[in-house]
Amino acid sequence: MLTGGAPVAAFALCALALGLAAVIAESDVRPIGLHTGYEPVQPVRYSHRLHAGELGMDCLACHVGAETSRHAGIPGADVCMGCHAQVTAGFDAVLAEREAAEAEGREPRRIVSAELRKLYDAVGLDAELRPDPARTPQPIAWLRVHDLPDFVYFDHRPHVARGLACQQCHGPVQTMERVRQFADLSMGWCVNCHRQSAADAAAPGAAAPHVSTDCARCHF
Amino acid sequence: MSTDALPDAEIAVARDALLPLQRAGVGRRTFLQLAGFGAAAAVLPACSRAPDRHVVPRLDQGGEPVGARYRIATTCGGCEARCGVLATCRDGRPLKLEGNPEHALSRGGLCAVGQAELLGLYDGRRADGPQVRGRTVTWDEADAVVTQALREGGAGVRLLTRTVTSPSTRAWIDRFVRATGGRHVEVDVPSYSAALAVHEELFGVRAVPQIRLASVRVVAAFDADFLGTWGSPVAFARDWAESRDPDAPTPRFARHVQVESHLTLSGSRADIRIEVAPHELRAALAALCAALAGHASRPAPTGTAALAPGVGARLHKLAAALWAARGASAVLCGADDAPAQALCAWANHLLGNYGATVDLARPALHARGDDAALAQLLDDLGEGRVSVLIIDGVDLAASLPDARGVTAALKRAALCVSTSALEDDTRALAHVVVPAPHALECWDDAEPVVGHVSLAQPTVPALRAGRSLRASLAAWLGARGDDFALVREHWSAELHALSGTGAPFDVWFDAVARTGYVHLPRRAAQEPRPFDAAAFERFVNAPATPVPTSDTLTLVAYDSVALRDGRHAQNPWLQELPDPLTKVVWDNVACLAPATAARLGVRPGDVVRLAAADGSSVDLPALAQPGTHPDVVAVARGYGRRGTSRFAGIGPRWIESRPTPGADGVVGARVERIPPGPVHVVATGRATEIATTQDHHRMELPTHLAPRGGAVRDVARAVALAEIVAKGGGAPPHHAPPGAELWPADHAPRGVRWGLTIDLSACIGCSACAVACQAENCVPVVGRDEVRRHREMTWLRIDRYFSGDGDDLSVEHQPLMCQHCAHAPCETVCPVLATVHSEDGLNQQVYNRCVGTRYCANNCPYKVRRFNWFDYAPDDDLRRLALNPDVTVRSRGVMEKCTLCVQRIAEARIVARGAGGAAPADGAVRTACEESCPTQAIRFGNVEDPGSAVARIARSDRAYVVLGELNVQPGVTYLSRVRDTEPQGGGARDD
Repeated sequence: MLTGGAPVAAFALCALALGLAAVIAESDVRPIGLHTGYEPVQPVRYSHRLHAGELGMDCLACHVGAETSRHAGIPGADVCMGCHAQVTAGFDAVLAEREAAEAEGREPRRIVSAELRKLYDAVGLDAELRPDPARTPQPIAWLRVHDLPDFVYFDHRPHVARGLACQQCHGPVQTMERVRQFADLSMGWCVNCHRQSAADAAAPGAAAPHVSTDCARCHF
Repeated sequence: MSTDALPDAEIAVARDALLPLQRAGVGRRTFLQLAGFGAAAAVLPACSRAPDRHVVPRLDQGGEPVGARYRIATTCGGCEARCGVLATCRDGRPLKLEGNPEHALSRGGLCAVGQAELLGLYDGRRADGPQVRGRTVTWDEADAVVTQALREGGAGVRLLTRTVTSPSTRAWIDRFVRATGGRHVEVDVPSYSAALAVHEELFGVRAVPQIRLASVRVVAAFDADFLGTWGSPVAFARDWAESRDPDAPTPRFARHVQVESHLTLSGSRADIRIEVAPHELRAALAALCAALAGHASRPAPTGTAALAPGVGARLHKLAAALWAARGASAVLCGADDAPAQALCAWANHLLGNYGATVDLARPALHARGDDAALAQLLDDLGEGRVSVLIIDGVDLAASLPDARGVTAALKRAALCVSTSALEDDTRALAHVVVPAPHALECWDDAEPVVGHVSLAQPTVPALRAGRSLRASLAAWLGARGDDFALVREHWSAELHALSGTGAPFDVWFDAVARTGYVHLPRRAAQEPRPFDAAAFERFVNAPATPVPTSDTLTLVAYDSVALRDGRHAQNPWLQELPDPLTKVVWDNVACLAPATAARLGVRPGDVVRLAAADGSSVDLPALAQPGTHPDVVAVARGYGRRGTSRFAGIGPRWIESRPTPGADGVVGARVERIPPGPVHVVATGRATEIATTQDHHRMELPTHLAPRGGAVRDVARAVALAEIVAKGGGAPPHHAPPGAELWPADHAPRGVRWGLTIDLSACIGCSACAVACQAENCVPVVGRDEVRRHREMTWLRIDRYFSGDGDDLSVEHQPLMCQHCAHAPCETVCPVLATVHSEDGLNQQVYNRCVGTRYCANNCPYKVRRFNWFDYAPDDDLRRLALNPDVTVRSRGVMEKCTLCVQRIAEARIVARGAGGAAPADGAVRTACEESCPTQAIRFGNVEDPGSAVARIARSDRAYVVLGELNVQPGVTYLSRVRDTEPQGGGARDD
């Protein structure tokens, strides 16, 4: 069956392969469905570098679900308000206003940054940061960065309980101004880690629990 | 095409072509992915993910974290038994209902109807807000219309309800009746009116007694399907199972005798079943009473009529057994026939059961309907004496025979108000609709038995604007307040004092809200009067029931386990639930005894016409159903309801599909339109294809393939109690010696193997597990036409086996799901490794690998695999909220089957490991079927842990595995059914 068309087919295959290899070498084309490097512009210019990096806040301080639920969760606006009821603008802007006020001999005014104004709008606060019954609170619609297909069931709890650093999967979030997908979140990537952990758990004297690579651990 | 077929030179060329890719670190898989991606890559060089998905956090992070499960204790609204429910919720909505173990009556069980209540909540057809003459209005506008009519109505106000089990609603009804001067009429379908009247006359207590079956030694039920639909089936089933423990060192096994005219669930589980026609029931009870009188050396209470040969002798044996178990027996009667009820009461009285197993001092409150009051109401309506009629919870126009003129009568009310949220025949006649909320979205309370009170609370913010009858009555009386305030106020004023607690009200109420149930020990007991012999004489001398002539049959309209009286007719889970006895879905049929069907020349599926003496008739497909009395035609109530036309769109639409509703646009036929009693049954010459699952997924071998002359495989096994007693406890072991190993032992034991045990002796076939599985695992509804094509998707089916007929009929129910074989035949034939074994003994089905060859289903000896022929979308978008987010919704073209609720195992393992344990403790994982089972027939656990409950149960001598001869080593172990067929006093049955 290959006698007549075989040379043609082989040539075509060869050309396609060479062409693809060239594409791979020249661009950052990724295999279908993988989104490493996905870095959408979020509705609020929230900086993980500032909060998790510079200020050194713990990831679990805001993403509380990671220990108690399958989803780490995006914090609600009330969590932000825990600090930002007081902190209304960047330190530099506040400092500048204080210096200006001192120079002019007056009380410093409250400075509200444009980005935090979006938060106050979300929880329905007016210009003086008082609850405004006329405004309907509207949650912020963030763009989802890490998104698994619907047929995969990932659970944060066992991974956090085992002491995995968040950065192992999410990358150096504390250095990211805007969150970027770090790992490709493919099944091979998951399974590699599970295999390594299973080997570690099987080693003599290991205390860690057995890690499975059963299909039904994640697909059900 | 394999590489072996290529000449060497060509392999070399192909290999060379791949070299650049291999150098670039691209493997075969990646190459194939890239090849597919090539064209797209050319036009989308710098694509980001599309579409972007939003994630919107809650504004207020209080409460449960996103994705975490929590349970809310509430009360089932499926029937008047009002079982306790724990609603498993996530992200603010209920996803699954379980029985509440804290509830002293239902004790953790929940029936099929209770399980399906979840789907009733997510029904997009529920009315959203009030309507006046078909126009949606505001609550104030609707209230203005009703209050205006009430003011002008005077004494012509009538409130017609189903039996009201809610104490707080009852209090508001009392207030309403006092304020308006009208009347409250309660009605039950089917009616318990005769039992109420008899107990009122004989004992001075107008109530049906509470029956405590847990301690009985003999129970005799006369036309009372107490395991299926009569009274409080979940509570009865649990008690019944408790009274029968064949594995105890000295077997404690209550004998269950069922006297009935057609096969019911209770009859199918009875040790001894006696068939009598409805017109003989009184005679049968009289014969029993006469025999009991003989034992007590007293005169027989009434003359005895002739009975079919053999019946009398068996009733004598029953009397002997009852007499031997005086004070620890129960005679139940479900017939709405006062003389029969009086004889039943007399028997219980003579046996000393009142005050012991039959409690009239603290009676049941689930049935208080009064037929005389209903008749009076219909008269008043006919005479135009009713100004305002408020109807709650009962579809009167569909429940009574057309000849009673209900439709015409309802039209005579000046203002008719319906609280039905769904379309029905009665609501269609109403001027004002004030839709009631679903039981899972409002505050409520229930007292199905005196002193046993449960609280219902919302599990979700209301999905549709509705208002309960209680809140409506309060509003019409000018007392504004929502259900929470009204219920709380009643509990504070009335119930708190009865609880005997020293805690302040707020603390007590919050505690009850957490557990969902409270016992009120100080609720006043009604002391029954001594037995009134004169009243008894009046009852038993009533005129006899009409005896059918030789050319007629007696029509028996019964409640089916799924639809009951029709109030669940719009629930697709229940419509598609195979009836436990007929296995018919999406239809009701005329059940005829096989001999009768043969005599009439009717084959299954032939449409017959049942014509009553008053000229009314109904056409139904016939079914030859063993266990039906030859003089009886038995038909399930609740079908042919107006709202079921909605199911015209259910199921996949393709070129050959046929709609689910029948020719007249509704599902089934409304048998209630003709009065029960003698009917002529004639074939119409038409035939229809009944959708029944009975012949689907058979495990029997075709005769030509069977090894020894078509031997029937011994799949559902039974053993006689006498055998166990003779052996001194435990049944003779069924274990067959293991055969030759076909497969290598390649699954090394790892200490965990999940499995089930199913006790066929406790299983009553109620199908609660089947609906629980459907709810838990996103199993779709496929519609009648697909079921006809053997395409039902249920992971758990209940096989029903008949042997014998008439009085010797034996019925077995066997729940069957994936057996999770260690040597799974499905795994060896899958070409893509989509079904593989897990290290904890599960047979996994990987949907994303499956390419739909269906080899696995062919090779499965248990026939438990289901193939998605289509994407089965729900009939209603709101129903998607009932899908379990922890389970993948399977798409067209893939195989699926029972996973042993692997999502529950995963959750329990994560919780156990989080708490520092290695594996979930025994009992920490409960599958959906296990959790729902009212009799605890199903148990789940680690079969490799010798200390686990399942391992202990599997060591029973009754244990066996289905098709053990195949040596596939299933993970599901069955326990043979035990049947006490030998009457006490020795000797085999002589008839």
